[in-house]
Amino acid sequence: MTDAIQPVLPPPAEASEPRLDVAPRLTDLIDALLRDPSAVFEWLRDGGSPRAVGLLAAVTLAIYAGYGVLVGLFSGGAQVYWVPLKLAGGALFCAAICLPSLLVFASLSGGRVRLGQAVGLLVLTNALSALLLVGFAPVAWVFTTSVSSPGFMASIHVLFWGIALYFGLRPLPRGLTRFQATAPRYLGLWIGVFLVTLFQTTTALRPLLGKAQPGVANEPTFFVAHWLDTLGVDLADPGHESERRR
Amino acid sequence: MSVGTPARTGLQGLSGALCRGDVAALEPWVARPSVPAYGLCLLALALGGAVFGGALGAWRSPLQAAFAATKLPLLFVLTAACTGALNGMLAKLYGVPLTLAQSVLSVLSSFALVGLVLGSLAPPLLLLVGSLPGPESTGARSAHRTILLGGVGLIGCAGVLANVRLYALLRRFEVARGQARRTLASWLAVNLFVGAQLSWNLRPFFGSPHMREQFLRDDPFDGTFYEAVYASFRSLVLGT
Repeated sequence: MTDAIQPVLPPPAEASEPRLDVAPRLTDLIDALLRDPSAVFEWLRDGGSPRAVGLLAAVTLAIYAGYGVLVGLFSGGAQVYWVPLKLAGGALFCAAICLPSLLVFASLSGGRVRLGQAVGLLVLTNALSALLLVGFAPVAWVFTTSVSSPGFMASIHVLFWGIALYFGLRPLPRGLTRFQATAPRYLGLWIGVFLVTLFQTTTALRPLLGKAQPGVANEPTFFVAHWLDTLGVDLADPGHESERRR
Repeated sequence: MSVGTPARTGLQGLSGALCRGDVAALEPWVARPSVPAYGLCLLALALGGAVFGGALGAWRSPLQAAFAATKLPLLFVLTAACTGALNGMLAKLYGVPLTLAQSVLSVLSSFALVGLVLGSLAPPLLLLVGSLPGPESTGARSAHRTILLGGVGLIGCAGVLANVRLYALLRRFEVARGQARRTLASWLAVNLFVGAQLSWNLRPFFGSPHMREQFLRDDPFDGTFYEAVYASFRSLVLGT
């Protein structure tokens, strides 16, 4: 018998990861972003469609708003409407004020990134984080219906958002090598700036959990102090005497 | 790839080459100093310094923000002007084959990079400064210290980045590793020594909580930065 059984080999890696079209469908773009972010960075470098980036940005904002509804459900009432606006608007504001430093730090890394591409990088990282938040949403909902302490609920959301941000920002330094960056470690500094800005923005937009107080201006505070305060640690009470008295 | 002539390159081209540390592109620029080259470096440090200074001063009031936006670029320019000749001579003493004009342009280009980095960080800084307790509130002292430490820290980080780039540029001029390090260390020491004193003369940048807004203090040339540090040290350690 000459027809020996041939082993079925997987196709070469390159064949299994087709390059993205210049103007891909949104589902293809999202799929590529989850499976192989480097391919999406290459697509952006090679003149990825601004329309596709814009569409992805709109979807990202919609996801943030959707997650905001979930956060708002903890308190109910007007928070169901306010928190989505605050989260989506806050993310947009944070991205806008971190854009100039992303351009400079991408250049410090040796990368050749144009303004439009820097906007694309911000959209891609935020989109990846937002997609992970979609995955976390059912779990967050379960906690929302069970937890009564705002401090504990805040910790849950910070944990979920932190994990989403980790996976969203992780491909960025490596992706920047597609833009000829030779020292992407400088981008670590920018990631620090971005995270501080994001956390400070959400602190400035409080309350996200807890009853809305229309017409009451927030007392300015640093996000770390606010977080510790929310968890019941009084910064003005280093010995935690108040904690012990409770 | 060369940056090209300053007039043709413009601020964007210079900014890109400075940020990327593209010494191959910057070398011909520094090798043939020209008025547009100085002008573009000054423009970069003026723009970046102004927005960063404005963000710092915004904690006190819009007027103090305008003062700080004027004074921070002025501080950089005055420091470069005061140290230019000395830096040029030090480079020659260490055997670096740079003319006085080339040394001044090298240092000025590193100041321009400081300006660009600080300018890009101004929007997040403005958000943070706006989120701190105001100068009239009970937490004003702690907010003042936070801005002071944060501002000095950011300027320090930008300075370190700029010096790493300057080192690479010096090496491009076939300067031995040791020579480049010594030259850079002496430039850094001179710039810090003079810059600290000038920042003392040009204070307040964002203003102490209990003092009114001012462009300069009533006695800008009374005392030195180093005397103040010594007095603080004596008060803290010796209690005198």
